[in-house]
Amino acid sequence: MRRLALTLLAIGGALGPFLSPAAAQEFPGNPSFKNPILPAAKNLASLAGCWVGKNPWGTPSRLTYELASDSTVLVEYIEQQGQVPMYSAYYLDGDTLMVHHFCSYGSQIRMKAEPSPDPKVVRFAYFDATNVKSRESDDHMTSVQFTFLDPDHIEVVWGLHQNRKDHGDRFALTRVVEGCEVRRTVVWH
Amino acid sequence: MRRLGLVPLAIGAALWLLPIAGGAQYLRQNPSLRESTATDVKNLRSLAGCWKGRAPTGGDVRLFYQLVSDGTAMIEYLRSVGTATSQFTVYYLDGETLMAHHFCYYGSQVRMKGEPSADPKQVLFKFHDATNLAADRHENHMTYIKLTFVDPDHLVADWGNFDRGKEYPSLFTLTRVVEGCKGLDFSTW
Repeated sequence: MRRLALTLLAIGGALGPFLSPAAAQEFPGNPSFKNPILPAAKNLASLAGCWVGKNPWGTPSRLTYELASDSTVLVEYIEQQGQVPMYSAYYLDGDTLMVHHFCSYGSQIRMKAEPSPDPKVVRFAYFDATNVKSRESDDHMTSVQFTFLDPDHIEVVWGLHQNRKDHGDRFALTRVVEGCEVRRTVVWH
Repeated sequence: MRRLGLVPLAIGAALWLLPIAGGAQYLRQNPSLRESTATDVKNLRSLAGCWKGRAPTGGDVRLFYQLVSDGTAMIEYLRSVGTATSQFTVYYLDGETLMAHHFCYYGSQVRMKGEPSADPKQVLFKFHDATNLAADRHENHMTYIKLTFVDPDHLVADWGNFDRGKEYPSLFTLTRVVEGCKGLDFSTW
C-alpha cells in the first residue's frame, strides 16, 4: 500500500508540468507575463494576437504572438511573403527581458533588453549566439526594437549585421481583430 | 486522401513563399536540421507534423512539430487536453550538437544538449543550463528529454522532471496524426 501511495505521488509530481489545471501551474517564484510589473513586459504581453503589415521592401508580412507555458513565454511567429517563417521566444530572466531568436540564417541569437528612457520603446540587443563564429564577418541579427504607438499599431525594427555593415529593417504593423485565430491550439482530434 | 488534403495547403504555402528580395536567408556554412545526414537529426526532423497520445496517467496530449527558419530549427507545441496552457520547445543545432530550448511552464527556461546514444532509435537531451533556476538546481525543473523512435508513426517521449528533490521519468506514448493535421494555418485572416 505504501509503495502504491509513493508511486502515485511520484507520478503526480512528475506530471505536474503537464497535467495540472492552468491556474495552479505557474511556479510562483518565477517571473511571468501574467501579471507583469515592468512596463516593458506589460507592453510585450499586450502583443498577444495577430498583426499584419509590410516589411521595408513593401512585402506583406504577418505575425502572431501567443502567450504559452502558463504565460511565462511570448512566442512570436513571423511570416514575410516570399520568405520562410521564423520563431522567436520572449521571456523573463529574473527582471530582465530576453529573446531567443531562431533565425533563418541558421544562427540562434539571444538578446537582452536594455533600459529605455521612452516607456513606449522596448529594445533588445545581442547577448550571445550559437552558430555565429565571428560577429564581424558572419551575417546575423543584432537587435530588435519595438515602439508601441497605440494598442493597435506598433513599429518593429530588426537590427541586422550583413556584409559587415549594420542596418535596421523597419516593419509597420497593425493589429488584426477580425478572423485572428492563433492556431497554436490543437486542431486535430 | 492524405495527399489530396495536403495539396491545397502546399499550394497556399508555395504562393506565399514565392521568393522576394530582402531579409535573412539561410547561410550555407551554418548547420541545418533539414540538410544534416546525422541519424539523430534525421530522426528528429521526421517528427514534423501532428501527434497525439497519452500521458502516464492516461490524460490525452497533443503535439505539433514544424521545421521553421529555413529548416534550421524545429518547434514543438505540447498541449495536455483539458488544460488551458501549451508548452513550447525549440530544437536546433549548435555546430554538430543538437540542442533544445524548453520554455517550461514552471517558469524556468531550460537549455538541453544532445548526448551520444548507443541506440540509433533514441535521441537524448540532457540539462545544459537554465534561466530562472538557482545554481544548486533544487527547484522543480525539467532535466532531460529522451525520444525513442519506435517506427515512423510511433514515438515514445520521456520527459525527465526534477520534483521535490527527485528525478522522475514521464513517458508519453504517441501516434502520428495524418487526417486533419493542419498545424499552423493563417489562411483565415
